[in-house]
Amino acid sequence: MGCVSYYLYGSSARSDETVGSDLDVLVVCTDPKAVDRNKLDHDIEGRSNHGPIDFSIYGISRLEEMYKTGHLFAWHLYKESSYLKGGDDLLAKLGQPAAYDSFREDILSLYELLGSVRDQIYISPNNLVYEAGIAFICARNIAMAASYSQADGPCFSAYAPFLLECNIEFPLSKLEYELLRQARHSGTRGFKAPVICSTNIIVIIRKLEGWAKRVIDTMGKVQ
Amino acid sequence: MKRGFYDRVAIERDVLSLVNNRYTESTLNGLSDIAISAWEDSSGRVSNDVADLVRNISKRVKLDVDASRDVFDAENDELKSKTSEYIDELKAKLKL
Repeated sequence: MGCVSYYLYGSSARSDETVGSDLDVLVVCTDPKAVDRNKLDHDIEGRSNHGPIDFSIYGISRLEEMYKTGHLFAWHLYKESSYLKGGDDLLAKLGQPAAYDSFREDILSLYELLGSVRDQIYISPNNLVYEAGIAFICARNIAMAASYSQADGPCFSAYAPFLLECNIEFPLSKLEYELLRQARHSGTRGFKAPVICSTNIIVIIRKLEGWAKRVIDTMGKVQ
Repeated sequence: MKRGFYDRVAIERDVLSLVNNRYTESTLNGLSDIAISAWEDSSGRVSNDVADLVRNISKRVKLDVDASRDVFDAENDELKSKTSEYIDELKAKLKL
């Protein structure tokens, strides 16, 4: 399947994983068409207490393109990935990604998705836990994208909204944010779903929309 | 956050709406293998063929996302078409 290299990224690479955290493993290969998911190496040395391994498979040519265009995921890998095993350290050869110029567009897309969560709760009320999880992704990723303009570069923590260095206070309590995070983990890690009601989630989403709007306004002024 | 993520959300919403409108006592909250197993266990009345179909859709969605990261347009169209076929099959099964 061509040259294959394995990298750790995400919470395990930052050493802030919690019990049951996924182990995010990037698989970089020269020929992604030839990669068989079932034959990937699950033997990640020294990482015995992790949750499920989440493999992301990328061809080196696609990663090169993402580094050239300054994709946020390229920055994530540049800042936080670590080489695990395999062939050549292909990421090291890519150097630093170009500037992440599309952060405003990405934040706007996530803001629109957040609005769709509110609509979906009315359309498909039985998907409430899933939609609450999407609201978590929106809040976290808006903060990650917005953090690019910070002095020390983008922040990829799950708690990025609380760490954003600007004058816009994140409107959710830790408890409310955890509720959304647990909802997301119910859909991705199979954890027990939190007890939530649509009225509360709608209130939370409205708060998030107001916050996201202020972030967008602020980002519009960033050079 | 490029198109692949938003496409995935759209498919997940479709599939979850189908099954959660049918099995209201315990909801499916995502399309990961582990979430599907947790849903089967807690519901206790999901038929094997429905669970298998949902698992197949989950695999296709994962492949779609992987494929979208590379330039395989023709193959990508084929994968999407297969995902739609599985969803149609799921719709038909849940109407029974």
